[in-house]
Amino acid sequence: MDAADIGEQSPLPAYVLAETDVRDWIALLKPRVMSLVVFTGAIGLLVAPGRINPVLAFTAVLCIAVAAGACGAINMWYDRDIDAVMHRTRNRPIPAGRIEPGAALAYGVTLAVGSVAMMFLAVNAAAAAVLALSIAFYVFVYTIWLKRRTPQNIVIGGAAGAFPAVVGWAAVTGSVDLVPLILFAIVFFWTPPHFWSLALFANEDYRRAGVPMLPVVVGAKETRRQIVLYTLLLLPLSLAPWWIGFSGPVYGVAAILLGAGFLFSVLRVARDKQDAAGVSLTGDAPARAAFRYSIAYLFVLFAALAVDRLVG
Amino acid sequence: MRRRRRGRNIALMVVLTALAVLFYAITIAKKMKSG
Repeated sequence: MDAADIGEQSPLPAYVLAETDVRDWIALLKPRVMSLVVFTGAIGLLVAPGRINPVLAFTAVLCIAVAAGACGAINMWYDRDIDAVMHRTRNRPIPAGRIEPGAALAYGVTLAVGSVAMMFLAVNAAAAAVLALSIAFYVFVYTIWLKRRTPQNIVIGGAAGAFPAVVGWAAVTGSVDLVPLILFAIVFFWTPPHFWSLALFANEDYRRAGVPMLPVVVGAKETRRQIVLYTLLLLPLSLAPWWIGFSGPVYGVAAILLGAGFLFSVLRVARDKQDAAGVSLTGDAPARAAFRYSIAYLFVLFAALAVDRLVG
Repeated sequence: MRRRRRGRNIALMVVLTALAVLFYAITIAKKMKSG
Protein backbone atom coordinates (compact mmCIF):
# COMPACT_ATOMS: atom_id res chain seq x y z
CA MET A 1 0.00 0.00 0.00
CA ASP A 2 1.39 3.40 -0.83
CA ALA A 3 0.43 6.93 0.04
CA ALA A 4 -1.70 7.41 -3.07
CA ASP A 5 -3.78 4.31 -2.26
CA ILE A 6 -4.37 5.55 1.25
CA GLY A 7 -5.53 8.92 -0.03
CA GLU A 8 -8.03 7.29 -2.41
CA GLN A 9 -9.45 4.98 0.25
CA SER A 10 -9.99 7.78 2.77
CA PRO A 11 -10.91 10.99 0.98
CA LEU A 12 -10.44 13.98 3.21
CA PRO A 13 -13.62 15.72 4.33
CA ALA A 14 -14.80 19.02 2.91
CA TYR A 15 -13.21 21.92 4.73
CA VAL A 16 -15.40 24.00 6.96
CA LEU A 17 -13.09 26.86 7.71
CA ALA A 18 -15.65 28.67 9.83
CA GLU A 19 -15.11 26.04 12.51
CA THR A 20 -11.38 26.68 12.78
CA ASP A 21 -10.43 27.53 16.31
CA VAL A 22 -7.27 29.03 17.80
CA ARG A 23 -6.74 25.68 19.53
CA ASP A 24 -6.46 24.00 16.11
CA TRP A 25 -3.60 26.29 15.12
CA ILE A 26 -1.90 25.46 18.41
CA ALA A 27 -2.53 21.72 17.86
CA LEU A 28 -0.75 21.98 14.48
CA LEU A 29 2.42 22.82 16.40
CA LYS A 30 2.32 19.46 18.26
CA PRO A 31 2.76 21.13 21.68
CA ARG A 32 3.55 17.89 23.52
CA VAL A 33 6.46 17.07 21.21
CA MET A 34 7.50 20.71 21.40
CA SER A 35 7.80 20.58 25.20
CA LEU A 36 10.51 17.88 25.10
CA VAL A 37 12.36 19.69 22.30
CA VAL A 38 12.24 23.00 24.19
CA PHE A 39 13.45 21.29 27.33
CA THR A 40 16.50 19.64 25.71
CA GLY A 41 17.27 22.91 23.87
CA ALA A 42 17.09 24.87 27.12
CA ILE A 43 19.36 22.35 28.85
CA GLY A 44 21.91 22.63 26.02
CA LEU A 45 21.84 26.37 26.58
CA LEU A 46 22.06 26.12 30.39
CA VAL A 47 25.03 23.74 30.54
CA ALA A 48 27.09 25.46 27.84
CA PRO A 49 30.15 27.33 29.07
CA GLY A 50 29.94 31.10 28.79
CA ARG A 51 27.29 33.72 29.35
CA ILE A 52 24.32 34.85 27.33
CA ASN A 53 21.98 37.76 27.95
CA PRO A 54 18.72 36.38 29.45
CA VAL A 55 16.66 38.10 26.73
CA LEU A 56 18.75 36.45 24.02
CA ALA A 57 18.58 33.11 25.87
CA PHE A 58 14.78 33.40 25.96
CA THR A 59 14.78 34.29 22.27
CA ALA A 60 16.93 31.26 21.43
CA VAL A 61 14.57 28.91 23.30
CA LEU A 62 11.58 30.60 21.66
CA CYS A 63 13.14 30.08 18.22
CA ILE A 64 13.74 26.38 19.03
CA ALA A 65 10.09 26.07 20.13
CA VAL A 66 8.74 27.83 17.04
CA ALA A 67 10.97 25.76 14.73
CA ALA A 68 9.74 22.55 16.39
CA GLY A 69 6.16 23.74 15.96
CA ALA A 70 6.83 24.57 12.32
CA CYS A 71 8.12 21.04 11.76
CA GLY A 72 4.95 19.68 13.38
CA ALA A 73 2.72 21.77 11.10
CA ILE A 74 4.60 20.78 7.93
CA ASN A 75 4.57 17.14 9.06
CA MET A 76 0.80 17.28 9.59
CA TRP A 77 0.39 18.84 6.14
CA TYR A 78 2.45 16.12 4.45
CA ASP A 79 0.97 13.22 6.45
CA ARG A 80 -2.67 14.32 6.23
CA ASP A 81 -3.60 11.20 4.24
CA ILE A 82 -2.20 8.72 6.76
CA ASP A 83 -3.39 10.83 9.71
CA ALA A 84 -6.94 10.44 8.36
CA VAL A 85 -6.57 6.64 8.47
CA MET A 86 -4.96 6.29 11.89
CA HIS A 87 -7.22 6.22 14.94
CA ARG A 88 -4.66 8.12 17.03
CA THR A 89 -4.40 11.04 14.57
CA ARG A 90 -7.66 11.24 12.65
CA ASN A 91 -9.01 14.08 14.80
CA ARG A 92 -6.04 16.33 14.00
CA PRO A 93 -7.08 19.68 12.48
CA ILE A 94 -6.36 18.81 8.83
CA PRO A 95 -7.91 15.31 8.54
CA ALA A 96 -10.84 16.48 10.69
CA GLY A 97 -11.43 19.23 8.14
CA ARG A 98 -10.91 22.19 10.45
CA ILE A 99 -7.82 23.61 8.72
CA GLU A 100 -7.10 23.66 4.99
CA PRO A 101 -3.85 21.80 4.04
CA GLY A 102 -2.42 24.77 2.11
CA ALA A 103 -2.97 27.07 5.07
CA ALA A 104 -1.19 24.61 7.38
CA LEU A 105 1.77 24.41 5.00
CA ALA A 106 2.00 28.21 4.71
CA TYR A 107 1.79 28.48 8.50
CA GLY A 108 4.58 25.91 8.98
CA VAL A 109 6.90 27.39 6.34
CA THR A 110 6.38 30.93 7.69
CA LEU A 111 7.21 29.83 11.24
CA ALA A 112 10.25 27.83 10.05
CA VAL A 113 11.71 30.72 8.07
CA GLY A 114 10.84 33.21 10.82
CA SER A 115 12.47 31.14 13.58
CA VAL A 116 15.74 30.70 11.67
CA ALA A 117 15.84 34.40 10.64
CA MET A 118 15.20 35.51 14.20
CA MET A 119 17.85 33.13 15.59
CA PHE A 120 20.34 34.54 13.08
CA LEU A 121 19.51 38.19 13.74
CA ALA A 122 19.12 38.01 17.53
CA VAL A 123 21.48 35.20 18.61
CA ASN A 124 24.18 34.00 16.20
CA ALA A 125 24.83 32.37 12.83
CA ALA A 126 25.96 28.98 14.24
CA ALA A 127 22.72 28.45 16.20
CA ALA A 128 20.67 29.58 13.18
CA ALA A 129 22.56 27.18 10.89
CA VAL A 130 22.03 24.17 13.18
CA LEU A 131 18.36 25.16 13.61
CA ALA A 132 17.90 25.35 9.82
CA LEU A 133 19.64 21.98 9.44
CA SER A 134 17.35 20.39 12.04
CA ILE A 135 14.21 21.70 10.29
CA ALA A 136 15.45 20.51 6.88
CA PHE A 137 16.37 17.12 8.35
CA TYR A 138 12.95 16.64 9.97
CA VAL A 139 10.95 17.75 6.94
CA PHE A 140 12.95 16.38 4.00
CA VAL A 141 14.90 13.44 5.43
CA TYR A 142 12.43 12.09 8.02
CA THR A 143 8.93 13.15 6.93
CA ILE A 144 9.23 13.09 3.16
CA TRP A 145 12.01 10.58 2.51
CA LEU A 146 12.26 7.98 5.28
CA LYS A 147 8.97 7.75 7.15
CA ARG A 148 7.02 5.84 4.50
CA ARG A 149 9.96 3.93 3.02
CA THR A 150 11.94 2.14 5.72
CA PRO A 151 11.53 0.66 9.21
CA GLN A 152 14.72 2.56 10.06
CA ASN A 153 12.70 5.79 9.69
CA ILE A 154 12.84 6.79 13.33
CA VAL A 155 16.43 5.61 13.80
CA ILE A 156 17.85 7.99 11.18
CA GLY A 157 15.02 10.51 11.57
CA GLY A 158 15.72 10.56 15.29
CA ALA A 159 18.61 12.89 14.52
CA ALA A 160 16.06 15.66 13.92
CA GLY A 161 14.90 15.47 17.53
CA ALA A 162 18.49 15.36 18.76
CA PHE A 163 19.47 18.74 17.33
CA PRO A 164 17.86 21.13 19.90
CA ALA A 165 20.51 20.54 22.58
CA VAL A 166 23.16 21.40 19.99
CA VAL A 167 21.23 24.53 19.00
CA GLY A 168 21.03 25.62 22.65
CA TRP A 169 24.76 25.08 23.12
CA ALA A 170 25.60 26.94 19.89
CA ALA A 171 23.40 29.86 21.01
CA VAL A 172 25.77 30.45 23.94
CA THR A 173 29.15 29.48 22.49
CA GLY A 174 28.68 30.24 18.78
CA SER A 175 30.20 26.84 18.00
CA VAL A 176 29.69 23.08 18.34
CA ASP A 177 32.10 20.73 20.12
CA LEU A 178 32.22 17.31 21.80
CA VAL A 179 29.71 17.83 24.64
CA PRO A 180 26.73 18.92 22.50
CA LEU A 181 27.54 16.03 20.16
CA ILE A 182 27.31 13.65 23.16
CA LEU A 183 23.94 15.18 24.08
CA PHE A 184 22.93 14.74 20.45
CA ALA A 185 23.97 11.06 20.58
CA ILE A 186 22.05 10.47 23.83
CA VAL A 187 18.78 11.73 22.28
CA PHE A 188 19.61 9.87 19.04
CA PHE A 189 19.96 6.48 20.78
CA TRP A 190 17.04 7.21 23.12
CA THR A 191 14.67 7.71 20.16
CA PRO A 192 14.35 4.09 18.91
CA PRO A 193 13.33 2.50 22.26
CA HIS A 194 10.98 5.45 22.83
CA PHE A 195 9.22 5.31 19.46
CA TRP A 196 9.26 1.55 19.05
CA SER A 197 7.54 1.19 22.44
CA LEU A 198 4.82 3.44 21.04
CA ALA A 199 4.83 1.53 17.75
CA LEU A 200 4.24 -1.75 19.60
CA PHE A 201 0.93 -0.63 21.06
CA ALA A 202 -0.05 1.52 18.05
CA ASN A 203 0.94 -1.28 15.65
CA GLU A 204 -2.52 -1.74 14.14
CA ASP A 205 -2.80 1.98 13.39
CA TYR A 206 0.54 2.03 11.59
CA ARG A 207 -0.31 -1.17 9.68
CA ARG A 208 -3.62 0.30 8.50
CA ALA A 209 -1.90 3.50 7.38
CA GLY A 210 0.87 1.59 5.59
CA VAL A 211 3.66 3.20 7.62
CA PRO A 212 6.58 0.73 7.77
CA MET A 213 7.29 1.02 11.48
CA LEU A 214 9.51 -1.78 12.78
CA PRO A 215 6.72 -3.92 14.35
CA VAL A 216 4.74 -3.74 11.09
CA VAL A 217 7.72 -4.91 9.00
CA VAL A 218 9.62 -7.37 11.22
CA GLY A 219 7.03 -8.16 13.90
CA ALA A 220 6.69 -7.42 17.59
CA LYS A 221 9.20 -10.03 18.78
CA GLU A 222 12.15 -8.59 16.79
CA THR A 223 11.06 -5.05 17.73
CA ARG A 224 11.27 -5.94 21.43
CA ARG A 225 14.80 -7.28 20.86
CA GLN A 226 15.82 -4.09 19.04
CA ILE A 227 14.39 -1.96 21.86
CA VAL A 228 16.64 -3.76 24.35
CA LEU A 229 19.68 -3.46 22.05
CA TYR A 230 19.29 0.29 21.57
CA THR A 231 18.76 0.77 25.31
CA LEU A 232 22.00 -1.14 25.97
CA LEU A 233 23.80 1.22 23.58
CA LEU A 234 22.20 4.24 25.25
CA LEU A 235 23.26 3.41 28.80
CA PRO A 236 27.08 3.74 28.48
CA LEU A 237 26.57 6.75 26.21
CA SER A 238 24.48 8.47 28.90
CA LEU A 239 27.51 8.22 31.22
CA ALA A 240 29.83 9.92 28.71
CA PRO A 241 29.40 13.48 30.13
CA TRP A 242 30.65 12.08 33.48
CA TRP A 243 33.50 10.04 31.95
CA ILE A 244 34.91 13.00 30.03
CA GLY A 245 34.74 15.15 33.16
CA PHE A 246 32.09 17.54 31.92
CA SER A 247 29.72 16.65 34.77
CA GLY A 248 30.14 15.37 38.31
CA PRO A 249 28.76 12.57 40.51
CA VAL A 250 25.25 14.07 40.73
CA TYR A 251 24.79 13.45 37.04
CA GLY A 252 26.74 10.18 37.09
CA VAL A 253 24.61 8.62 39.84
CA ALA A 254 21.40 9.91 38.23
CA ALA A 255 22.43 8.45 34.85
CA ILE A 256 23.20 5.05 36.42
CA LEU A 257 19.92 4.89 38.36
CA LEU A 258 17.80 6.19 35.49
CA GLY A 259 19.55 3.84 33.06
CA ALA A 260 18.93 0.86 35.34
CA GLY A 261 15.25 1.83 35.47
CA PHE A 262 15.11 2.13 31.69
CA LEU A 263 16.78 -1.26 31.23
CA PHE A 264 14.36 -2.85 33.70
CA SER A 265 11.47 -1.25 31.85
CA VAL A 266 12.52 -2.51 28.39
CA LEU A 267 13.38 -5.99 29.74
CA ARG A 268 9.77 -6.17 30.90
CA VAL A 269 8.77 -5.32 27.32
CA ALA A 270 11.00 -8.14 26.01
CA ARG A 271 9.47 -10.59 28.51
CA ASP A 272 5.88 -9.53 27.86
CA LYS A 273 3.45 -12.45 27.63
CA GLN A 274 2.98 -13.05 23.92
CA ASP A 275 1.61 -15.57 21.44
CA ALA A 276 3.71 -17.49 18.89
CA ALA A 277 3.66 -14.51 16.50
CA GLY A 278 4.88 -12.20 19.24
CA VAL A 279 1.56 -10.40 19.72
CA SER A 280 1.19 -9.18 23.30
CA LEU A 281 -1.35 -10.95 25.51
CA THR A 282 -1.32 -8.11 28.04
CA GLY A 283 -2.49 -5.32 25.74
CA ASP A 284 1.15 -4.20 25.47
CA ALA A 285 1.06 -2.94 29.06
CA PRO A 286 4.90 -3.15 29.43
CA ALA A 287 5.40 -1.23 26.16
CA ARG A 288 3.02 1.50 27.35
CA ALA A 289 4.93 1.71 30.63
CA ALA A 290 8.29 1.80 28.80
CA PHE A 291 7.02 4.60 26.55
CA ARG A 292 5.98 6.67 29.57
CA TYR A 293 9.24 5.89 31.37
CA SER A 294 11.32 6.89 28.34
CA ILE A 295 9.84 10.39 28.40
CA ALA A 296 10.51 10.79 32.13
CA TYR A 297 14.00 9.32 31.62
CA LEU A 298 15.08 12.00 29.15
CA PHE A 299 13.54 14.82 31.17
CA VAL A 300 15.19 13.76 34.44
CA LEU A 301 18.55 12.83 32.83
CA PHE A 302 18.89 16.25 31.21
CA ALA A 303 17.61 18.00 34.34
CA ALA A 304 20.28 16.14 36.35
CA LEU A 305 22.94 17.38 33.93
CA ALA A 306 21.79 20.96 34.43
CA VAL A 307 21.60 20.60 38.22
CA ASP A 308 25.07 19.03 38.29
CA ARG A 309 26.53 21.90 36.26
CA LEU A 310 24.78 24.55 38.33
CA VAL A 311 25.78 23.14 41.74
CA GLY A 312 29.14 21.69 40.70
CA MET B 1 -18.69 31.82 14.49
CA ARG B 2 -18.33 35.46 15.51
CA ARG B 3 -16.94 34.35 18.88
CA ARG B 4 -14.33 32.14 17.15
CA ARG B 5 -13.30 34.98 14.86
CA ARG B 6 -13.00 37.29 17.87
CA GLY B 7 -10.86 34.64 19.60
CA ARG B 8 -8.53 34.44 16.58
CA ASN B 9 -8.22 38.22 16.41
CA ILE B 10 -7.37 38.49 20.09
CA ALA B 11 -4.79 35.69 19.79
CA LEU B 12 -3.20 37.44 16.79
CA MET B 13 -3.08 40.73 18.65
CA VAL B 14 -1.42 39.09 21.67
CA VAL B 15 1.21 37.41 19.43
CA LEU B 16 1.99 40.62 17.53
CA THR B 17 2.23 42.67 20.73
CA ALA B 18 4.52 40.07 22.31
CA LEU B 19 6.73 40.09 19.21
CA ALA B 20 6.97 43.89 19.26
CA VAL B 21 7.99 43.82 22.95
CA LEU B 22 10.49 41.02 22.25
CA PHE B 23 12.10 42.89 19.33
CA TYR B 24 12.41 45.95 21.57
CA ALA B 25 14.04 43.89 24.33
CA ILE B 26 16.38 42.15 21.84
CA THR B 27 17.49 45.54 20.50
CA ILE B 28 18.30 46.75 24.02
CA ALA B 29 20.14 43.49 24.82
CA LYS B 30 22.21 43.68 21.63
CA LYS B 31 23.03 47.35 22.30
CA MET B 32 24.21 46.47 25.84
CA LYS B 33 26.32 43.61 24.46
CA SER B 34 28.05 45.78 21.86
CA GLY B 35 28.23 48.89 23.86
